[in-house]
Amino acid sequence: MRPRTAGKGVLVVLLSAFIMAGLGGSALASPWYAGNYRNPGYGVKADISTPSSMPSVTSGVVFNMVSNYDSGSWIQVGWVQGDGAARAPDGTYWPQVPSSYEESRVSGYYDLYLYSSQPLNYTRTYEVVHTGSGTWQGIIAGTRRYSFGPFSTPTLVEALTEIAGSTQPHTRAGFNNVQFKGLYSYMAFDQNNERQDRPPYATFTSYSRYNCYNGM
Amino acid sequence: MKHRRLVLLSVCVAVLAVIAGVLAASLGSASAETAGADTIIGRNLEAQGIKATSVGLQEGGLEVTLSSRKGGAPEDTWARTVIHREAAFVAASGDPGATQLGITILDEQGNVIYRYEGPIEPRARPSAKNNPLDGLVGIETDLSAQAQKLGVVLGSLSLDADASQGLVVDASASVTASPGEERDLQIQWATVGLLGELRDYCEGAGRLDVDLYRLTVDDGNGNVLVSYVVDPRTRSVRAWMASGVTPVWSQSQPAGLPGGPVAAP
Repeated sequence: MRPRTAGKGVLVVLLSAFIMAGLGGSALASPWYAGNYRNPGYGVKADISTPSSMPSVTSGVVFNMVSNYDSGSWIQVGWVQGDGAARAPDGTYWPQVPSSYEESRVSGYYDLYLYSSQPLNYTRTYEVVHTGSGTWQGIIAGTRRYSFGPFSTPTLVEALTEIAGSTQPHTRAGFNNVQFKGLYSYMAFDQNNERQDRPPYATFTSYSRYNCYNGM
Repeated sequence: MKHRRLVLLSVCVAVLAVIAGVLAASLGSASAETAGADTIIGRNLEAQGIKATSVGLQEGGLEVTLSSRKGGAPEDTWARTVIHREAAFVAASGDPGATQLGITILDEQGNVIYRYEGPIEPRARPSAKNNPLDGLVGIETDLSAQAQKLGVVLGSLSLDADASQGLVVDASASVTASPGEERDLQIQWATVGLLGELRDYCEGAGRLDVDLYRLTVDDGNGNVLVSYVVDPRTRSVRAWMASGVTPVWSQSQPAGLPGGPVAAP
């Protein structure tokens, strides 16, 4: 009986993966990252640019974002681009042109908001910052968006490119003026926690200025 | 002379009484207007079965507090969604209420387990709709077959013409696998996969003008793993997940440092 049950389980997993691919949902492989971290911080902000030509994303999803990270809880803002086949959490497809978003998970609670597109060769300042009592706010191009919490503040903060669902997505994002917030003011990222999972790749001019890319 | 003075005094008293009355009425009315938004929203929430611990106005912000339990509860997702929408509907109706909304969820010990703050974006309440007779009949068999292939059991699938929230698609599914990758794949399908199919069907040919999609995923034993609500007009998603469940419906998963956090210099 046991081998038979195991065989059935394998079959279901294979079938699941096949159907998920057909639905455009990604397999649950771990994502890949490039960028830098700062620990700890009361906020993080970065000027994140889009490339001058449209990235080719024919499989998977790319996120270029700033985020905090508190034991599996987070708030992040940035721009996202999908392949037109992978579903976003709202059941539509991730936008095929770079578009801003805000996403948060606080323990068991999850929130996502999808916003307007970010033009090519264009920079927006993305920021998540502690506003008090463990609550953090997302700010996109100076517009205050939504706040979530509570997080055990200060937290690890990060400014990263993430590719998910496939190693294929082409992307290029400039991360300039990457800063963390101390108790009172912002300062340039000052720690060497640089990461590149190859892909995505990164070229670092400094801890606070780098380009993350894949295939372009 | 004495009589004249008395008359004059009486007139003065009467005039003062009228002025005082007008002032009191005007102050009372201002106070009623200020309290309008929270009162109306509190009443609307109650009418929809949502028991808020408190609803009030603080410094131009509408504050709603909910009581839940440690780790939160599935019904919190629907409550959060309705609070957002009622605040927006009341703001659109011209009530001079708040411009900001705060939602706090407390556990049994009074600890804050969730906090939201953000602007209220006014929008009109959806117009009353009829429940289409053929509803989701055309897709139910196909969805059941898809679910079965993944080891998911599609439970209920219904369309509800809610008087307050508009047309709501409500779906539930049970996953059968034990915690692990297989169950994650099942949850992924039962949330974003199922939702995508429903949206394609409902909105693809303009078949149905859906206001909300509400999904529930359980473990087959009545334990809810995920509650999930999508407002298609605002492109917003709210969800709650049980302990041990991760948001597998989103590819975005911020990461800690490889090898764990480093100490600050």
